[in-house]
Amino acid sequence: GLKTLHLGSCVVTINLQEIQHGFSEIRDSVQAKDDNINIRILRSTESLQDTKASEKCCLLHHLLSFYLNRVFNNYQTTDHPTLRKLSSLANSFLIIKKDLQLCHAHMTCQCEEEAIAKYNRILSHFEELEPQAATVKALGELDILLRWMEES
Amino acid sequence: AAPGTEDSPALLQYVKFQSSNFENILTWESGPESPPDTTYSVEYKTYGESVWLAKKGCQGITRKSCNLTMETGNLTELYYAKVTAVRPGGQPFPKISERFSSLQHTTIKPPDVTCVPKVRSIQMIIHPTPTPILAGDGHRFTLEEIFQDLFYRLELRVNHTYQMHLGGQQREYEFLGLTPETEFLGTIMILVPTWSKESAPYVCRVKTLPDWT
Repeated sequence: GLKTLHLGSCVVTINLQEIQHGFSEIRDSVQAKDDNINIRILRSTESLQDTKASEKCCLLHHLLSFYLNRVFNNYQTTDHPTLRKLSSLANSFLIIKKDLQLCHAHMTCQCEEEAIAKYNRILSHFEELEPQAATVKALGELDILLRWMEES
Repeated sequence: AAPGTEDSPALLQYVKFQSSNFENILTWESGPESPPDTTYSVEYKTYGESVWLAKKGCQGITRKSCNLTMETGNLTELYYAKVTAVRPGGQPFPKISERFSSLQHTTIKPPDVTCVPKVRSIQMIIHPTPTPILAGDGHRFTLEEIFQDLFYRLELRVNHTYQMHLGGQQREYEFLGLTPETEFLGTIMILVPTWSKESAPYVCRVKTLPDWT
């Protein structure tokens, strides 16, 4: 179930299958709340796998922070199983982020222009939407981010 | 009148994709109050796009399924489909599917296997499974090419209490040390851990050859 992410010189091992499995249990209910299917936040043009190897780590680090700070904790639901899943997903993201910070400490997670520009574009797609709708859409697109990670 | 209201009774329900080895079929059911002469039209689109595209061959049809394999064949994309039901003289009644990703939603069919009995062994040859997904060079991707972590699990039932197990990513296996002229039950499954997918088993009942030596 472990997957090794090759992010330029930064190499981290994560349990992607566990994260994918966790998300799959809330995916349909979250995506069903996304009424605006004409818009997509995580677009192929800004994907992780189409990013220069040396900047993948930075982009992923920003995306993990985005999900931790702007999505997981802002998603409104009274459904306790969903809340537990979100907490588990957030913990998994925190672990990956900690590994990426180690890379940063070893100068293998440099942020340059391309990663910052891509992240800002993703953020602008997110901020075009009404806040709660944006949170629902971003959470519903977690499978896209997980596939980017799987293919990188 | 809004769909599904009194003026526009539910003519349609359970719009969903049924996907098996990347053959993606949209299916739906008529509503409790839809007359037999209700017709259906199908559209589809990529998630994030605003334009719906009409599916040729599924416009004004009476059957309740439509093959969208080619239209939903990009593995990295997510899709939606919409069915619009119309009864003569009535309001159109549209209903949209859930977001569809063939990687996530497709189920895996049992593998295609040739079981070859010998005197003291049984060989099992698993054939690659082609899918409708076309590669850039025009060849059809196999399941093995799409799912990097796909592997096979083989079991040979010797008797009620004893089974032999083999497994891996290669395609040829041989169960050795068997008794001649004895019947065995072989089962072979495909597993894809990353996507938590598991096929139904392919089953072969084989009898080892007599030992004339």
